[in-house]
Order: sequence, then C-alpha cells, then structure tokens
Amino acid sequence: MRLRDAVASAIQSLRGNRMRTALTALGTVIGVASVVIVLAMGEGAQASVADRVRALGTNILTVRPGAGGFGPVRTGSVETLTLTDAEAIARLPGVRAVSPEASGSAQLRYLGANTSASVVGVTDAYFVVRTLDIASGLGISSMDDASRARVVVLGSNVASDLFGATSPLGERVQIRGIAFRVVGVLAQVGDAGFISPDDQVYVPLSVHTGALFGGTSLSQISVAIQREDQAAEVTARIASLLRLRHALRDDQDDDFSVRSQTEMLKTMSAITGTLTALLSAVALVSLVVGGIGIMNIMLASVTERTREIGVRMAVGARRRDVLVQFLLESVVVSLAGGLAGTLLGVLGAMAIARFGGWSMIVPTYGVVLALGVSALVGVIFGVGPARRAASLDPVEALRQE
Amino acid sequence: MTDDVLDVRELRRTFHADRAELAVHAVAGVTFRVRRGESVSIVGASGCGKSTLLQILGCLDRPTSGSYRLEGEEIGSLSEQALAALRNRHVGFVFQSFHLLPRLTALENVALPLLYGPYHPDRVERARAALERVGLGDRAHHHPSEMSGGQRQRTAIARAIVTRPSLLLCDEPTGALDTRTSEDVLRLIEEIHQGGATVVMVTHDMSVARRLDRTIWMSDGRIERDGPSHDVLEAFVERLASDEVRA
Repeated sequence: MRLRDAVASAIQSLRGNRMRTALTALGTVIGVASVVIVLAMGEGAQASVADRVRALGTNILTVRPGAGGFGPVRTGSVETLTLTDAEAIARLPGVRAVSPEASGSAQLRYLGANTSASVVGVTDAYFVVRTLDIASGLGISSMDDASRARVVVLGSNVASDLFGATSPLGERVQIRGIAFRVVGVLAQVGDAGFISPDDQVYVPLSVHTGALFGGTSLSQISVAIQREDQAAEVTARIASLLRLRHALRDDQDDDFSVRSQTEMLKTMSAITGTLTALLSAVALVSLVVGGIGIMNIMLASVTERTREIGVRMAVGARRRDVLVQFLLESVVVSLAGGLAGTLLGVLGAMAIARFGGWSMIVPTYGVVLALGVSALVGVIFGVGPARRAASLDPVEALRQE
Repeated sequence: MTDDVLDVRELRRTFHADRAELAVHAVAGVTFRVRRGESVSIVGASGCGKSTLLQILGCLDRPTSGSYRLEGEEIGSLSEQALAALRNRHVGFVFQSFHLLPRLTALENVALPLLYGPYHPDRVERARAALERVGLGDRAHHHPSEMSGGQRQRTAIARAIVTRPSLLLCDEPTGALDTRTSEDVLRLIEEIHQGGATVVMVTHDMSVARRLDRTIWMSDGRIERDGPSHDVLEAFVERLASDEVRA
C-alpha cells in the first residue's frame, strides 16, 4: 500500500466519524495552543528584557557598592563607593565617561500637587552616558554641580503628574522642603529600565549628597567604555583599582560589583528562559494527557472496527498495512489537533498582546516544535492500538459481529 | 501455470493442538485437488470443518499439518506477508454476510483489494468495471446501507473479482438472501465461473450445490465423498434421510 493511499485511507476513516475525531483531537489542540502561548510569552518577555537592557546602552559598565547580585541581601558594606572612586575610574584607559550617581526617594510638591519619585543625584556625564534626551530646557551641567545649584530635571511622568500640560520650566518644586528650579524635562523614554527614567528626577550630585540627603557614598557609578569589546578588560581594571583604593587584602571579597549590560542581559535572559521552560513543561503535560485521550479512542476504535480489519486482511492487507493505517490515523488526528492548536495559540497570543498589553512573540521554532511534538504524540500513543489492530487473527476478526 | 489451482494433501487443522484433552480436529486429514476452471461445492453438517477448510484454502488460516499448494506455492512455508500477497493476488472471497465496509461507497469497497499488493494506477477504472460487470454501475457512490441485500452481495462479488483472482471462494453466498435474489447472485457466480474462474463454495443448500460441477461431502473433518455433484449429493441426501429416520 502506498503511503499516499494509506494517508487518504486514514483521513477517510477519520472523516467517517467527525465528532469523535474532533473530540479526540481536542486534547492536542489545547496542549499545543498552551505550548504556543507560553513560548510566545517567554519569547516576548525575553525580547522586552533585551530591549530594556539595550536601551541602557550596551557599552556601559555598572559599578555598585556591595558584593553584587540582585535582591535585597547584599554582603559587605553598602557605603563603599565614593566620588573619588569615580574620579579614579575616569582616569583608567578604555573609559570614555564616568557618571557617579546617588539615589534616594522623596515627595515632590508643586503648589497643591505632589508625587513621590526617585531622586537621582547626577553630574553632567549622566545624560551622555545614559543617552537620555532632554525634551525641553537643559540637563544638569558641570556648573550646576560645582555651584551646588538647586536645579532639577524632571522625568516626563513626574512632569505631567505635577504640571499637567503646562510647561514646568522655571517653576519651583519642593523636594524634602527645599525649593528646586526646574531647568529641564526629559523626553519620554517609555518602559526602558528597571526603574523608568520617566519616573525619576535629577538633581546635581553635590546637592544630593549635600543638602538633600547628606552622606558621601554613591549608589552606583555608570562607566561608559570606548568599545564594547573592551568590557572584560575594563571591568578587570576597575576591579583591581577599587580593591587597591579600598585597601582590600587578598583574602577579602570585593566590596563592590562591576557588571556589564551584556552580563545583565544574559542573567535576565536566563531567568526568563528558565521560566519559559518551566511553563512549557506544564503545557507539555497537557499534550501528554491529549495523547492518552488519543490512545483511548484508538483502542476503542480498534475494538469497534475488528471486522473491518478482518475484511482488509482477507482482501490482501498485510499486518504492516493495518499497523500503518491505524498509526496514520492517530498521527493525522494528533497533527490536525496540532495545527488547530497552533492557530488557536497564535490567535490567543495576539489577543493577549492586544488586550493584556503583554509583549508576545510567536517563535517559528515554537510552531515547529509544537507540530513536531503533536506528531510524536500521535506516534507514541498510536503505536499500542495500531499493534493491537495488526496482531488480530483475520479469521477471528471476520467472525466478530 | 499448473493445471491444479488447489492441491491439498493430508491437511489437518487442530485447535488447541498443544493440549490433548482440549484438542478439536476441525479438519482431520483431507486430500483433494481442484483443477483450473472447476466449480466445487463443499457440503456437510454444521461443525464438519468445511468453513475451517475454506479459511485455509483462502490463506486466512494455516494448516496444523499436511500440505496445501495454491497455484503451485506451498503455503505452509510462506511468511505472513507472502501469505497476504498470495491472498491478494489469487483469492477472491464472497462471504455470507457480505462484509462490506459501511463507511465506504460501493466503488471504494470494490477498489479495496487494489489498495494492497502492487500499485494499481487504474484502480478506480478497474473497480468501476467490476461494478458494471455485476450490474451495479449506477450504484458506485452508494453506501452499503443504501443498497438491498442482493446489491450488497453483488458489490461483494465485484470486490472479489476486481483483482481477477484465479480462485473464487464463497462461504454460503446466498445464505442471507431471499430465493429470487439468491438466483441472481448464483447466476452471477456461474457467469464468473464460465469466464474462467475456479469456484469453491461452502453451502448448506443442496439446490445450490447441484449447480456446481463437483461436490466434496465432509463429515467430522474428513471427506466422506468427492465426485460429480449429482452422485455425491444423492448419497448425501440419502444419508440425511436415514439419519432422520434413525433419530
């Protein structure tokens, strides 16, 4: 029997009982649809993380106090980075610019309106290193920093929260009871960082560490390097410089961490990748359940069609022909379910993206994977029933009523 | 091509052969030959082994011992695959209960044997020709449920002859039909026989057996008589009558 005829014969048998076929395929439809949606979510999350990190600039190294790592638990002192550390880093070869930063959060008030925002103390280098555009007015200049000028640059969200549609330039906002003159407003960045620049305000570093929050320590130093491929080299230089400056002995751990954006990207990708794999595994379980459904129906079908099998054998079907026919029926059901599931998954992903505002990307490999797995499910769960059909004794089968 | 289509020697079929106390000798050593173009009926009481013999002749079952040659090929030594191929090539079956596949149309049912074995690009044309030969050219796209008993059996006959087999095996082909329809079906089988096919038919019906050249009378798995239908059936009827008197 030719494969083409066998497929046609399998489809013919399945079409003979459409309702049963549809219900049999339902398990695979749901399984594949969930795999596709989960993969689309994972891929979307990964792309959006990558975009966020890239928006910060890929040739930036971030030096933070403490021994590194994410989360609230940090080892070592957290007040280890100082402005002089930043100045020393600026003199290292391969470094293009250095932006020392201090952060705190405070209530901002303007007339009756108030909002809470993250207040970042920066130098003029900050806007260059972070490639942030000023929509109106100016950024923080070196003069502002040197003269401890009480000026502020507002993130776009903060500006609209406090001033609505009117221009805030020249107005005075109160931060922790101190009046700051608004000199500039940042262009809208969108959701581009872990804390969006739109929700922050920027004051001269000297004012931040002086009158506003006090203290001398920095929350981080952003270092722009000349070339991206120098990241590892410059990281090592910064590390040895800071160890030297902080007088750390060989047996002591770093009291700072230096991370490149690429590294951050990798970490975040690994996290989203793990999550996607985990969710996909759950979705795959539903595919297996779908497969068991197929096996169940196919077994019932073999029993129901025993006489048909006998007739086919009587007119010359080999055991292999019967095996292939039943196996193909199971694969066709599963694959049809896979196709419908893919379509449903893509539509579902589009709906989630549209109405839920999630970033969803259906990856090609996901579609291929889902279809491949559904065909595999058809084979794995079809083999048992097909073997049972092929092993029937034709004489007994023909006797079946 | 040998002159004998069938050559059966000392053929036995024992069920539960491995346990003496349960063993049933359905066919207990039969020997006969069927020449090409002959028509043979097998008669006997229920349980005499005629259907089991027919299944072996159609390569659906294997003998426990003895030799069976179909078109010169000894089937005992053949693999399952080769047996299926032999069945496909040389044997056409006509069953009492038609055994048509309900979800297929008449044309698809008739074309079924051509799906197996060597590839037949002219499958549909051949199936249509076979249907026309049995007078059902206009019923090609009807399903079995839309046809009468006689039409179903004629469709089954078309399926049996579509591969142009040398041997047509019929198991009570008129058993489920009324007298008039039976006559139509028998006439059709006779036509096919006259066209050169060898026919072996299991039947209970003496009037049917009488229309064939030769009759094999089986009793308890053995051949009681084998010869021209007229002679064998006369003896068979006598035996039936004396059995009844004795009873």
